[in-house]
Amino acid sequence: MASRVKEDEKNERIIRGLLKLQENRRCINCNSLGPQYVCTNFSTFVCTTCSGIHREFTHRVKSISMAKFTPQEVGALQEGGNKILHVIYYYCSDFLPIFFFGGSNVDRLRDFIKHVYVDKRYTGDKNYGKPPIMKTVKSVQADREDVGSRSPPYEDVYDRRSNERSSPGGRSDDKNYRYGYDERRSPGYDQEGRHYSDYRKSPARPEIINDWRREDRFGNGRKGEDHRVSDGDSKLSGRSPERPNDVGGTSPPVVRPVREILGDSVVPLRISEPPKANAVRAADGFVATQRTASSSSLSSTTEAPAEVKVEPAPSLIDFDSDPAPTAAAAAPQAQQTTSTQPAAPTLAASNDNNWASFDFAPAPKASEAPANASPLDSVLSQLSATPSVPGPSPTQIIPNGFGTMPVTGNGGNAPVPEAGQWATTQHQQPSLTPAQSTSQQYSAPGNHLWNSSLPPNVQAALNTTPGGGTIPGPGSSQSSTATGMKELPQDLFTATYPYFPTMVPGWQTGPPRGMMYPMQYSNVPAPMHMLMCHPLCNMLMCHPLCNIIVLLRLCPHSSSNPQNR
Amino acid sequence: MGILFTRMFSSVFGNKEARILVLGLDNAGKTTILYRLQMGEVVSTIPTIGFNVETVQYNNIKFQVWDLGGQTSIRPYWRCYFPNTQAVIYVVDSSDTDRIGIAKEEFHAILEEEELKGAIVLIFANKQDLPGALDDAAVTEALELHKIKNRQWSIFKTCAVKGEGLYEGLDWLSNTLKSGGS
Repeated sequence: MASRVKEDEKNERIIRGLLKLQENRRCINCNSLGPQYVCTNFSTFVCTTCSGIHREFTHRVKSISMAKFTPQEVGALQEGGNKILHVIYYYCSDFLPIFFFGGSNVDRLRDFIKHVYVDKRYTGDKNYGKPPIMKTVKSVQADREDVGSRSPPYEDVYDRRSNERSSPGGRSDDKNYRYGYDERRSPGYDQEGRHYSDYRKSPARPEIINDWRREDRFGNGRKGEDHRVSDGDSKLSGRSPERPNDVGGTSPPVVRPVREILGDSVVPLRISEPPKANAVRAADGFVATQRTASSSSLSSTTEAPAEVKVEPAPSLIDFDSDPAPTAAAAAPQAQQTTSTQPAAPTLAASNDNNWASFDFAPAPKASEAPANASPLDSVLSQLSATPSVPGPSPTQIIPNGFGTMPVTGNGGNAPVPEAGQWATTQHQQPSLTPAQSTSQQYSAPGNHLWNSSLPPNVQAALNTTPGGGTIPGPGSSQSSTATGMKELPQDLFTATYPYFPTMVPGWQTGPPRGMMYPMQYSNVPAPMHMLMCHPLCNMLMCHPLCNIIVLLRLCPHSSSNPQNR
Repeated sequence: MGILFTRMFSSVFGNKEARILVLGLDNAGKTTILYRLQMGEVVSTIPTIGFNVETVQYNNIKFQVWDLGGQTSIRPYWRCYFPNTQAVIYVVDSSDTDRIGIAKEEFHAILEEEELKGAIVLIFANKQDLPGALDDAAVTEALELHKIKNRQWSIFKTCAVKGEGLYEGLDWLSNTLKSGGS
């Protein structure tokens, strides 16, 4: 008996200790301070409100102070705890806004919890893993930007709670509850689901995910809830209409910041928007190369680079003879290939710009471009891009790092006038058009903007800095591109490296020190929007702008986390 | 005098009062049942630390229903509420087969209590809506209800969320209390 008491005490001590860990200091669902309960199903620390919601879903909740824990549970808590947070966000980024803005909103919390735990979005089921990754990551990034404005709702919650407790009969609470329930049930629920799918279908969302979601929603996810379908449907109508608003409300904020951020970079590019006269020039060989390029680029990542190299040679020749045409060619091509709208113009503009400034600077870019193009095509996911980065030699890497962004962005990369570049541009073009058309399907509006706008920024930086440095010899660079990529990179490397010293190493090596956010952000905002994988927690991270709050909170390993203090 | 009159009045009209404890492991659905009975609605509950008490009028009996928290550490405090209790409603989460053994132990520990010697016992096999929930027979078996001696008891399948079975249980309770003449 005594030993048991001892063990209980020990367990409690351990749990109390766990509670002091920074990731466990807040409710995993609503972010409110001081969770007092443990959801033993998931080994997470939750607050009072969320404990109630968990119970609705038949999850088992234990009070930290009023329950005894078995050694197994304690072990699970030690292993798990709210560390799984990042997994959740990773897979359920859609709900981030709800999470952060709706901490005090029980209905939204209920949605969130259902989404995450009942529908098992987070479990890392391999099936889910793939498709969502790109989307989630992107949207996570986007979503994170708004986090800053989140207001701490917990006091509210606690007040409510205390009310409920003291007068358990609380009608308001009851209403709330049914509300939420109804929403989940029957017609309302379906509507909601439909709504979601629509939302996802909206240009920016990937189709795959839709399916994935829908399946889940109506398949597994529901099974637990079916029984609940019963009374109180009358209130359904009231609720369902609200939903769309909510969702809509969450996404827009995401978009805005991006634009603001990128606004500066974008503008310059447009301004430079050049002489359409070049367009006439549209290289003859160009079209041909482009076709091949497009097909190749679409085919696969690995192939793309190789082909690029091959094709450039002829185009290079043309180039030398007629340096001006690139931009023009690009534009027509874009139109040709598809119905690109904004992409083409920007492309041309950037091209001209570059063209004018440095005739031959681009050699390095050519090398970079292939790398970029391939990732784009392959998945359009930045994830895929990142892995590709390490492959090339260090010198190449630099361009790649930057290049990745442009790729998705499309217009940004095109600019370089080189023959080699042409190849790349061609590649990009195909990718571009798909990217654009797809981007509407794939990424959230915020993301789209971000990608497209970002690249220019990167480009600008790249072009200006490296361009000057690389200027050395177009001929040499071209030859290098044609023969092999290594020579070019070297030039690039020397030229660029000084400009982005911090970025390169960090990006390259993978382990960002102290999350790297602050410095990068201050120095070079645009390029940093790449995803980073924090080695410790395996989660994808993005640029400091977005991280400011969320990431810090998400990543327990970050020393810069303000919540640590 | 007034009290006497009140008693006579209530006995004439069959008004009775009964103090009832709702017990069970944590997460069994005690609080949900309490408020389902009291308001006829499903409320969102949080783990009860302490107790909730409500009066429920049913079949001319005024039930004073005490819903005590079921968390491990506060089960020892149940005994504080045992005196003057006419009936115990023991709620079992039928879908929680892992802990049905613990539920059984707690249940029989309650029955051992001297202060509950005269109390009748109503068992709710709750959460029948969940997949994998044991039916009343299985719960009877698991709780070893057949071992109960010298006590009136009954078991009902319930689903607090839907409100099924609750009032059947109360019917039994009220009838038994009335016939018991307490």
